[in-house]
Amino acid sequence: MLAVDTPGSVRPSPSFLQDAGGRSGIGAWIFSTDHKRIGLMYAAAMFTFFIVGMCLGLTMRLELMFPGEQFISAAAYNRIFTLHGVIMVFLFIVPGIPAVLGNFMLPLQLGAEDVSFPRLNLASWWIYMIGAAMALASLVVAGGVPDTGWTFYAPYSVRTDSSVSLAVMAAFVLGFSSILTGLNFITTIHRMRAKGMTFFRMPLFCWGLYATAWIQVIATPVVGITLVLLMLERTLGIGFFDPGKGGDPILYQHLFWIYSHPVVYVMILPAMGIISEILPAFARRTIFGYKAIAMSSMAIAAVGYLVWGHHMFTAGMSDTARWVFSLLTFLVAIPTGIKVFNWLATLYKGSIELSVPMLYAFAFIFLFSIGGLTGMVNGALSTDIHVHDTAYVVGHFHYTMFGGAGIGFFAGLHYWFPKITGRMYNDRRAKIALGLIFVGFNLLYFSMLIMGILGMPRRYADYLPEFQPFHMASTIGALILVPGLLLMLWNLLHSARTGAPAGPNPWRATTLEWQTASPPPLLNFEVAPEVTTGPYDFTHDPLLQENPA
Amino acid sequence: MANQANQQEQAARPEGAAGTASGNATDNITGPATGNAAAAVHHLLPDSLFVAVWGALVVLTAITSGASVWFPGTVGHTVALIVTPLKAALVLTFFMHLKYESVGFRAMLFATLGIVVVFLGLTYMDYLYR
Amino acid sequence: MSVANAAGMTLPAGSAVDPAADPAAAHGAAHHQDYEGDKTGMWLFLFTEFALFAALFVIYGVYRIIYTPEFHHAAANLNVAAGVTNTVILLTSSLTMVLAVNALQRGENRRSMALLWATMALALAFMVIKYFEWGAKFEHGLYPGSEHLLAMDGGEIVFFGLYFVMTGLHGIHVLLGVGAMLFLLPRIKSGRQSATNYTLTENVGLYWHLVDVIWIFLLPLFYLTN
Repeated sequence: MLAVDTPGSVRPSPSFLQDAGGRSGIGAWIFSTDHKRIGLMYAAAMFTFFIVGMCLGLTMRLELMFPGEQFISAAAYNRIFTLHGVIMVFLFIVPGIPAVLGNFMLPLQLGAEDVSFPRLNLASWWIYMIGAAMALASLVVAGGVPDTGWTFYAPYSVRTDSSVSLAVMAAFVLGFSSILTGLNFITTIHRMRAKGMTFFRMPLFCWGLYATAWIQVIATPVVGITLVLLMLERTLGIGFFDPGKGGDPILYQHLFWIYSHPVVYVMILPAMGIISEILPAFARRTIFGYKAIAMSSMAIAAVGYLVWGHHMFTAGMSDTARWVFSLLTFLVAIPTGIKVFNWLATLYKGSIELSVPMLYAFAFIFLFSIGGLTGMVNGALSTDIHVHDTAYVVGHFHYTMFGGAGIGFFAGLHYWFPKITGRMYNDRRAKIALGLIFVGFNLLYFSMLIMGILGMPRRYADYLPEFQPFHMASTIGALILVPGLLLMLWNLLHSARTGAPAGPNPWRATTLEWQTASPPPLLNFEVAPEVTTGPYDFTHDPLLQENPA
Repeated sequence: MANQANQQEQAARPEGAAGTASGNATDNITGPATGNAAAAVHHLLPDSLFVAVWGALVVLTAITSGASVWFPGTVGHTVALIVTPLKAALVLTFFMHLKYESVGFRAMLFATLGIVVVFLGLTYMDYLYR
Repeated sequence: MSVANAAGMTLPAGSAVDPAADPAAAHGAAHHQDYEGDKTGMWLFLFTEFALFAALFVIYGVYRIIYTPEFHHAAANLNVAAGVTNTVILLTSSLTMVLAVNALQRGENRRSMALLWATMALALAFMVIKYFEWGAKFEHGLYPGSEHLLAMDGGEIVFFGLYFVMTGLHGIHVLLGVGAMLFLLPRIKSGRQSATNYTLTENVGLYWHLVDVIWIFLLPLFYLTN
């Protein structure tokens, strides 16, 4: 993996990349209980799956470039969008930020030497890999890839011959990994903070992870048992979701979204935490409204439990449930708005440095705002009936999930890359990659928003000729986006070996992870840190004192 | 939902205070007041207390079962609706030591139970008004 | 801070950490003394168990209001005596479990082990009664997907589906609890679990009480519904 030489080599302790704690070979990675190595192992696995999911997405876009069947059948198209969804949701974006950056950074930001339960942490990774293997096994076993969509809606998922049972078992196992990670993080935050670090002196990324972990712990079991019931339905015919046996398929949707809506916030809350780290570091100002941002994370997590019904407005719920869920849905906008306004207020009169992480953070705010505002159309009952199950919805959730969580993840990767590897990435290549990603992304997904409003249904392998210009634009966007993503990943991988030494604190940031060497030693800190101020205190920044901005 | 956020915040506070008081988390994790030896003394309760709780649980079981056998229908259901949470509360409070834990544990439990109630309540919004 | 960690931190440049030491043990050593932390982790795990059963309670709650008469009718097929007996058995096992933890905390390891054996015996009795109860249902042709069951009303099919899934899942938890106790016994015998280090025992106890709490709810939902 990242075989990095010690830059500088003046540190008393070797870095975690050299010091495997007495293990060697592949065992130094796959049996390591070091949170930093586990984070990197997650990263290796996840970006592999991300590239697979990306290729599946590109396949769909190429098929849709022209009306009529190009090179994949309608049935194969169903399987491809299902696999794209399953991989991107369950293997990449849900575990993504907590498992990779959370694992790596949480103990460092808290000033701890590891998470509370290091062996459980390793077990989470193994469970994740087992779940991933099961998901990929559904490719080759009899029945083939599920063709239900990633939501596995009953009753079709009960009847289809494709290997739904294996895929839902995979999701169940992956859920277990997610629960254990969440449990570990909550305990770590409660028990492992450095001396002097009260809850309200924690970096905001930790707050994001804390809110996320509560969702992982309490919501994930619900989908776990629901998927087990779906499997029992297929094998034993218990009838919970089968109208012929007294069941109700809509109840499946309720249970599925009881988990799967909160899990949207599992994806976005840590990304918001990352943005809250990057903005003060590159505006060289303390964050505006620290407590408001911290508490709005908790509020989003809490409100997230109340709004799942907005995925089901056209499914046949009672009118009462519909307006109640619609009303509650609009409440989410309040804590989200609090965050965005606080971020903008942080920038105001800051001495802004347009570094790569900062540019990613701006891209996040722009794209996520579009994602959030387009969500209002879905949240309102009357307009949702018009856009329901159209490409508009696909555009909307890609703006939030990819433009929000995904871009936030990339922002965090660039921000902490020098800390993780001890080296700096190529700045020019990183900016070119971001430019390609930003342009390609908007072309790809904004076209979807428009054609959705015009009536293009989602999950269709074919379409009427009048939608062709939008599909063409969308595919061109994908063809710009994909090279951008590949360039970004290649730049990071390449720079991990060849980049210039970064030093312990290249951004002159203030949180604890920057107070130790890059890459950090096995036990993170030479001397256990002590905290006396809030996380974003720039009053002692040397540069600000030389040139007061 | 503001309430839940509040509860979680409350869950945070005593822990936060403990974090400040107990010194470096990695250095002396449990702090002077909650160290292992101290905890052993703190949690020792007489066996007779647990036997008494068990007796109460058996009596309550007899009451619910009796009510449902001899007064089936509304009375039986109402008794079950009142007594069952009471029994669960007894187990949680004494057998599971919740009475002797910090406020944080109780707050986290109530937040969890609150979320479960929300699950059922909002699902009922659909099924009761169809 | 543990000795191993302190040594690791003060080593001069280039020195390797003692390769003979088990890295996982050395690295994890500091954490295992965090009594409050271990308990926090256990409670969080119990919350996930609550949420797991909560989903089933939601399903039960929904179908109960849709099929109230069918549920009452179907519940008449269940053996109230068996349900109540099992409740008393499980409550008693909870008592022996809490007494086992208490005995260990007083340093009475032998008494603690005896009480754990009693807990397991009660768990076994619970499962035996469950076995005969389920067996009787199967004999009457009542099992998921059976012709006899599918000929019934939708509400009754759902009731029995819930009955088998929820008591079955609870039964799996009982067996897991027994497994945890079997894991625990040699540790109490050897003195690794003791009056000064009883976290694991206490956590197994917490898990066992949770199994009890869930059964406390299952009793009125199924057996006392007619």
